[in-house]
Amino acid sequence: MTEAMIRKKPGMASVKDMPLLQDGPPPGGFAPVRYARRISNTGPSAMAIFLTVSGAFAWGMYQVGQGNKIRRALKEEKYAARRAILPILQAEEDERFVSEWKKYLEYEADVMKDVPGWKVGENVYNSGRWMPPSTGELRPDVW
Amino acid sequence: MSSAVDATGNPIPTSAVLTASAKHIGMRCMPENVAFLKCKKNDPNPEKCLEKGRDVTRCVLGLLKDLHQKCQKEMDDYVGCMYYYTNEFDLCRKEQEAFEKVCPLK
Repeated sequence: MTEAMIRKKPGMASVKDMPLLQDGPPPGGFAPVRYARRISNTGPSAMAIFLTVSGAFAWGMYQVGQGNKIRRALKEEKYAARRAILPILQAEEDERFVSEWKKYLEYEADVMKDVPGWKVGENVYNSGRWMPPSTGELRPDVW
Repeated sequence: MSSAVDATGNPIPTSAVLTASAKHIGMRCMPENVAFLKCKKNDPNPEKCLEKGRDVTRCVLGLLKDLHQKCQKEMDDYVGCMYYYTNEFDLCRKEQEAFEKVCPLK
């Protein structure tokens, strides 16, 4: 079946006289299409947005300050506890150190007993202050 | 070591026990502590401050024993909590309140 058989018009002389078969608009044309911008000018003003944002920021910073107060109180509690138990720990360490130091001085006297002019346990510094021993071994049983 | 006392019933001054009773120590042994620290500041030589150190130790160990006798269960709970949370005060508020209710700070 050729096109001419389908679309023929009576009295047609050639294929060039066939009626048109086109895709076209419906009768009366299409409905109009809006393509213009419609961005509305309603909504909060610039000042309103600015005030809201700075208000939220200020409230947030206030909460940060409150949180810091709480954290500082917690840290203070911890430091106060440490200050309270510092003396007993230091006193116990002092007792241990004094007994160890006495043993060390006896050992030193024993080792250096034949060296003339050796003062056992003399301070190696001349400032008169007490300095902890710097033998490099603070607690040989621990290290 | 999760027990607060040794064989004879004296509290062992471990870190958990000491931090648990730190507020009591700070309040009741304050004169001895201050005297010891002043002596230390004067002269850091351990041999010079032994007497005051012994005062401090006597006061604190006596206070620990006293606390343990008065409120044994609460103190054991608090010390256990301190031991578990490695001396974090904020994680042991419940036990702290129970302890301070029975053995008040005054």
